[in-house]
Amino acid sequence: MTDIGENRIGLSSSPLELSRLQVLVVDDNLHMRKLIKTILYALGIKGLREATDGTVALKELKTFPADLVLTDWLMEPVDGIELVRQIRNGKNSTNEYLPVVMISGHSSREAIVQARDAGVNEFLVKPISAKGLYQRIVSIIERPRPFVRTKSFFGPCRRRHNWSQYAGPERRNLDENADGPMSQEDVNDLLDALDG
Amino acid sequence: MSENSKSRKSTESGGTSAKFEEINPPNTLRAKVGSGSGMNPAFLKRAEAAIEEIRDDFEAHLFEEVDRIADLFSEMTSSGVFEPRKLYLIAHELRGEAGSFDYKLLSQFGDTLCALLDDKTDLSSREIEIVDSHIDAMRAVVRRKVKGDGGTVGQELAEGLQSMVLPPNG
Repeated sequence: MTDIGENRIGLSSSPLELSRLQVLVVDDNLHMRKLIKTILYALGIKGLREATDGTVALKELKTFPADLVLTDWLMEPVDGIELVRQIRNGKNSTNEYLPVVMISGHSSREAIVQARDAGVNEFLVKPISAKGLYQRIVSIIERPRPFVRTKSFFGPCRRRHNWSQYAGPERRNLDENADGPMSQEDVNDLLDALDG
Repeated sequence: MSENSKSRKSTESGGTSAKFEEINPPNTLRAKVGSGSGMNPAFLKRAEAAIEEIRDDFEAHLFEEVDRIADLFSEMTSSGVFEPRKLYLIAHELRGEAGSFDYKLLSQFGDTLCALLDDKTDLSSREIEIVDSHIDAMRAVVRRKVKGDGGTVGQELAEGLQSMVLPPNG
């Protein structure tokens, strides 16, 4: 089982050195971009670019060799899901393996599965915390997954568990007796389960 | 970019057998971050402190967003023309943003409002009442600057709004 649960990413006396990373932050909300940039700067990452939607992001990627994309989902005219699809499968994609973290207030199981099917590497549920974002970045570096190409999918490997166990009506929580949004912990559990 | 690739017959989704190609692209990120591992505790503290420094600006923005959704709903109520998508977009921002600065209760209200408005093209009179209740609750959070989950009263209110929006379990 591949371990991508955030609880297993810890503090270290010889940590990763992130200062050389180049990151593209994609969000239509100025304040969320500011929050994410504030965290990234504090983590030592100086190579930052911003984009306000998927179209602008794809344009930026033509001149900015990003190592990592952090993207919101709900943006217009081109949302984060379409951006990921274009990165993975677009004719003009500059790097089809580019790691992508989806950061979204969408936290239903259906949303997470949709993001995974589009080809995201990690999913971070808003609200954003410094620790949560840091853990996702470290996770992508330390636990890279192989890519898979099939007739209908190209992206980080999804096959580890039996997808069919999540077929059926979409519920908003892993606990079918509970309602409300999934927490980051729930999301990690779901991703781990999907990853198997 | 060099990469290792292999094709094999296997199941990608645990169901029917399908051929897929497994590719191990070079870990370009690892090449840039050295041989260490894990998070830097000093940097994490610095990031948390940096968030505190922008808290006031963010809080003011959150409160403006609550005013914006309240004003928009008021205009819709006056005109009798409801555009749920416009309300949804603000509620969606609130649920995502508010929790990042410890306004968890406001985030919860945004979330249940999103659940109500998602995919709606119009609102029934009952749904209009529910939106109104949510906006009243959001304004109360702003007036009293209620942080965290709002304690017992806050959670009872959140559960009450949630029960109006979501069908009962079982």
